[in-house]
Amino acid sequence: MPAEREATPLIEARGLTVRRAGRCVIDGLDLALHAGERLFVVGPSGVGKSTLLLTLLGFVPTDGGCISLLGRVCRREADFAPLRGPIGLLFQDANDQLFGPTVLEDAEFGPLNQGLTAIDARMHAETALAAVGIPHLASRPVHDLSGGEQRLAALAGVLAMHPSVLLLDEPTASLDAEAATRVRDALAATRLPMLVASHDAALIDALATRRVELGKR
Amino acid sequence: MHLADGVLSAPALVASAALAIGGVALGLRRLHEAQLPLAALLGAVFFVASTIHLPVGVGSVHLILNGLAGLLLGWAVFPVLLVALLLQAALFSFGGFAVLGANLLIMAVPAVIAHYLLRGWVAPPDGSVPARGAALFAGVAGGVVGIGGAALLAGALLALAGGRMFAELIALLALAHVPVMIADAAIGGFTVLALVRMMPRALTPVRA
Amino acid sequence: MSARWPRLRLASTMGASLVVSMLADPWRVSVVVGFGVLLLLARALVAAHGGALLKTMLRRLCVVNLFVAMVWLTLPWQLDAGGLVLSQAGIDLATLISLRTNAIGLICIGLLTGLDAFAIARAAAGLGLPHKLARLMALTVRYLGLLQDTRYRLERAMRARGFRPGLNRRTVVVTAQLVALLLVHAMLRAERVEMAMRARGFAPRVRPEPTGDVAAPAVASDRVEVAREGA
Repeated sequence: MPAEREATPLIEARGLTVRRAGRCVIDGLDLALHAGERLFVVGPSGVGKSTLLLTLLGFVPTDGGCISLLGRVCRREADFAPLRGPIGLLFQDANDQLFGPTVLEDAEFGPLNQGLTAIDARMHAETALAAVGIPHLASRPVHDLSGGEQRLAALAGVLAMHPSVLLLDEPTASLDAEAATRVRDALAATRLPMLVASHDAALIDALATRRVELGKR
Repeated sequence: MHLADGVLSAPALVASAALAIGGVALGLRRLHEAQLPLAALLGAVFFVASTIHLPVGVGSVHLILNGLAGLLLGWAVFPVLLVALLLQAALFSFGGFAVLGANLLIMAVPAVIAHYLLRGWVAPPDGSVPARGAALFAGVAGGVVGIGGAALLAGALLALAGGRMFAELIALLALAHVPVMIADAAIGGFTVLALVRMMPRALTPVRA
Repeated sequence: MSARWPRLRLASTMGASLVVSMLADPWRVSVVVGFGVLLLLARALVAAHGGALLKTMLRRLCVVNLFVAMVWLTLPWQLDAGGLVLSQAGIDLATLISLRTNAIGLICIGLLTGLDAFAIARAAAGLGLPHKLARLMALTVRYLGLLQDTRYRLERAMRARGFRPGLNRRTVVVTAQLVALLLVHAMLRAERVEMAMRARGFAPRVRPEPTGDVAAPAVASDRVEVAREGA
């Protein structure tokens, strides 16, 4: 897929600095995600990939630098809040994200927060479950899923909000080969621009249009 | 809503402490060594839940959920709430030490009553999963019994300690409990409903 | 000072609470209040981040005085034939209560601020709690951090999907779902803990109970087996 470079990046960070417990986790990072791109952030564990994704959506306070999402500069919670949905974040641990009670109702959570009616929310949820290949899990309680199923259910929950950009934190971590393939295929099928933190070589090879290594300026 | 140190008279403090110790002893006897991690985990949940609040205009109402705790724990709610109250007093100065026994009675007695009144609704004797209506009712009733009972007991203790002098204070306390009761009943109802749908066995964790 | 002598501090606080609760002379109690204020100031002066510590302690003092505020709103007043009337007896009692509550509060805050939940649990156990209760407290404190973390993560993920709490039915349902999820997490972890205990040879001791609860431990573990088969 040819990368179309538009003037305004979808996500941009300039000079981003984040400190935790005195340590500099992210140090003056410049990063931009453009339309049509699948940018992979790579690097060893602990280098700050998760922190980067959380920071971009306003969940971690910054110690310097500037973030703009979908063309808007974001500084305070009030700036970030309306963009959560249009920019979808998949957490590293699906357990954090799965709300429930059932997989279908969990997928409806996002659309309902966006103000959709119950009927529309259900439609979005069912479509999302089908898109990731788990419509048969609709009435399963969320705590009763295997690792791969959890990851797919969490992804469906994000996709149900019809995001225009995806932020994905280690989407295939701890998954066996078969489950990882299903996640990979589901991600490819979305045709969405995405920023992915991952060290899964197969995933990088299959999807990445560009990669950035954290820890190096 | 906990009573602070320095309000109750000595006889009220001694009497409530004695009864509270009795309740804790009974609860500990019913709690087997193997069930301690479960009781501790549930205690931790209710401690965390007490820091969850519902926004009400400019302020907020904190959850207490002692009725729900009693529903799940039975007499074991006495030692579990004792731990929670001790931590609240030591960490936040919420409640107090001399008045620990009184506050424990206020929280735990209605909890145990809620257990015996409502356990049939969340654990039908034939072993089937409770119906949605029954679950919602049990949760709501748990909130009403838990907070209503707490308000009554707090009022009774104050009346015992100070008589006529505390009449208006008792009335104000009762009024302050109303929003808490509404919150606990609403949240309690939907929580039990959610549990019935997700994990019915979570409603009878401890046999006490 | 921050973490030393936890048992002495806890014991002193409890002792002071008991003693001051019994005092009926406002002047004697005022002396204790003065002592409490000095204690707070002394700690703030000695501490590394004295200003921050003082702020924390004063915030706790406000919590203590919420109840005192309610006392002042009600005790001094009496509804009479002529309307609202001040009662001297009410004022005296309110004064005594305020002094007592603040005296105990100041000592509690002065002595216990800086001790975290783990320290409190260890201190209480060291002061002679019955074995089961001490163990329950230690375990509760241990799981507290875990559950707080779970709650924080769930709420963060909720915000990531656009949830904003308000005064409406949806917030009630969502908050209830959060509580239920915490309970489910706790139950599942308890089951895993029990399996781990049994995998290391722990067998529930069946103690003869006069009330006939002999079967209780077996029932608890049977429930786990049945539940796992059914899940």
